[in-house]
Amino acid sequence: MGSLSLAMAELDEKRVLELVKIALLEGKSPLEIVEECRQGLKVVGERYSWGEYFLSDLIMSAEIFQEVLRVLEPYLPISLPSGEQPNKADIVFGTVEGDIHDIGKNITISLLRCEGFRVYDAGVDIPPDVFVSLLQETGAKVLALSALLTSSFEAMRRTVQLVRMMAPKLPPVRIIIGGLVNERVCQYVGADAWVREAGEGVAICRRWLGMRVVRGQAGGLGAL
Amino acid sequence: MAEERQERMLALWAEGQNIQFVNEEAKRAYKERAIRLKDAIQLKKVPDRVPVCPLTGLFPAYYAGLTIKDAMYDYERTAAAWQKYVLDFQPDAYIGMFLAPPGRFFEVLDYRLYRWPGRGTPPHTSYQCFEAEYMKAEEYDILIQDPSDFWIRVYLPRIFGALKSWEKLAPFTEVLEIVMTCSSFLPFGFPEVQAAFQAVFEAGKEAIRWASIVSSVDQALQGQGFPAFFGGVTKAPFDIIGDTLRGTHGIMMDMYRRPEKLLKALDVLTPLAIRMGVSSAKSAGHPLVFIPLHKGADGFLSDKQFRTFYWPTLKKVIMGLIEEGLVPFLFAEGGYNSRLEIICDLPKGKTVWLFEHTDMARAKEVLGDVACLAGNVPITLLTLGTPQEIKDYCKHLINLAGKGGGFILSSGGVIDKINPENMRALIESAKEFGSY
Repeated sequence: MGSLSLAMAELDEKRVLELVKIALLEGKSPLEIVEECRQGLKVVGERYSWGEYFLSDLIMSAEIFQEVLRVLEPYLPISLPSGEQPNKADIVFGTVEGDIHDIGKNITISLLRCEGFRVYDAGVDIPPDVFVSLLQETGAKVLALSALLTSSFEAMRRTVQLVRMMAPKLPPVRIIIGGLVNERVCQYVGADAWVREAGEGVAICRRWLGMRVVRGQAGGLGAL
Repeated sequence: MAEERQERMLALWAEGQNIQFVNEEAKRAYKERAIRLKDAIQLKKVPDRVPVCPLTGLFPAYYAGLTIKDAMYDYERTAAAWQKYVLDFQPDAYIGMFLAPPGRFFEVLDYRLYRWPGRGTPPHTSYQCFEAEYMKAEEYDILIQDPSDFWIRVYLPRIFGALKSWEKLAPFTEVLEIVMTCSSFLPFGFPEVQAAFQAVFEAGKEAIRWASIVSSVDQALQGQGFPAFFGGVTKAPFDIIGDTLRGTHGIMMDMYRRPEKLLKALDVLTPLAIRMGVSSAKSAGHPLVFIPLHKGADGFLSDKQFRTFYWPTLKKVIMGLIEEGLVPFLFAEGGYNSRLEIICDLPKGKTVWLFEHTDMARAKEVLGDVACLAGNVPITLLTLGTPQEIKDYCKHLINLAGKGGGFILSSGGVIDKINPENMRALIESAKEFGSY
């Protein structure tokens, strides 16, 4: 692992930004730099999954990466790499109708994007039919639903039911729920999997979707 | 000293001297319930049985068939709903109607910090916090220098649309000699500031209308033999900053980017958090001070961060309340498994810890000699389980955490909409399996 990846893994913000500037002076391409940072972020994700890092560290790593992107912005290509369609996604992710919690959702989306997944962030308080349209538009094979209220169980259930009902018109979709959930809630709403923390969610998506080829381009990472 | 103060506070509360009881039976029942809680808390005597006090949020409203919109706007119907819940289910203590805050009050002030039915959430869903950076990273010095001034001139104008013009107010500490007085009052002549005060007057009237109904519910329920579960409320200094000032994202960054400022601000807020707990509990004549804990849960902070940023000032708040004879009631949302060894550094019989996802066997082992435990029937089980499953869970939990006293049976989280039969199963369990 290079020194930039290492500094990122250690969450050493000052050092990361110094190294990014040096790399630019040395003539490294912004995409190479982004890729090095991403390697470091991957280590952060791993350390989180085995309990060495915490939510605070995840949030900090995403923040440092944002800083890096801000530095690199003038150097990054504006157009998406060939073959990449802007509205295609692997995962549609949102908080269900009536629920506006977004912290867990945002952190998990950051981690998923570090892994190279294309995630469509639907936002919060999303009605079932909007999820269905988003699945149609993006062609996503995974729907991730977040909910932090017991009263949201019904909204999750309605969403899952509608997606199942619309199945003939959609690509095959697997549904994962997260937040205030467990096996019981999963069965009740009819989802395929449930998670209480971000790392597990990423592992499940990796199992379902396979490892994504790391593109290392702005299009895949810019919105982290 | 703290020991005697606590004994006196708890004994006075259990006596219910200022309560107008409807009859002798109600008086006897009130004392019996309060003493049951007192014994569970103090760890000196084993109570007659495990007390049961579910952490009801908006359950009484749902149970009475009200929407949450009704509960926040129709105070009279909400008051009736609260009484119906307590009288129908007979918990050992109830949580007051303050959990259904007055919608019109917040409308008048154009409150931005929360969404509620009619203002961003559907009528049947609970109010929810809308997290944002209501305090900016570079504003720590303003907060540290003069917290009240920060609240009045920076924070309130951001969370209440109607108080936006309070940004224009002058600091009151500049009112000194006769020639140094008038200028501080100029902003009060501005039309927009006067409009803000009109809104405050109207909100004040609405608050009184609501509070008088809340207090009539308390009088009625206590008069019929049911103690309130809590007297006062306060928060951990880290959560004061992390929940509603800087937000989760903001405070997490601050631990890395400006740790010294954050620590200083936490210190500045500590005596204010103690003051809040003491004044609210004393005015209620009830020693239990509810402290919901958020950002210190397992997974949020590392052990080092918890020990550096979260625990020291929370412990000071706890000790400050204990010093006044009060009983801090810590509602540890999420898991506290990795914190048990840290939080057990407290005097014996002075606190209650209500756990959600914490392993209750380990909690009893590590904390059981120091504090009364409470909890932790999962909110998911209460929402989706059957009455029999709930009874099975409670029986096991009582055997585990209730051994030798020092335990209050409750839910692990706040109960909103559940099947009433599940509430009944929870409350009956203490009576069925909880006798010592």
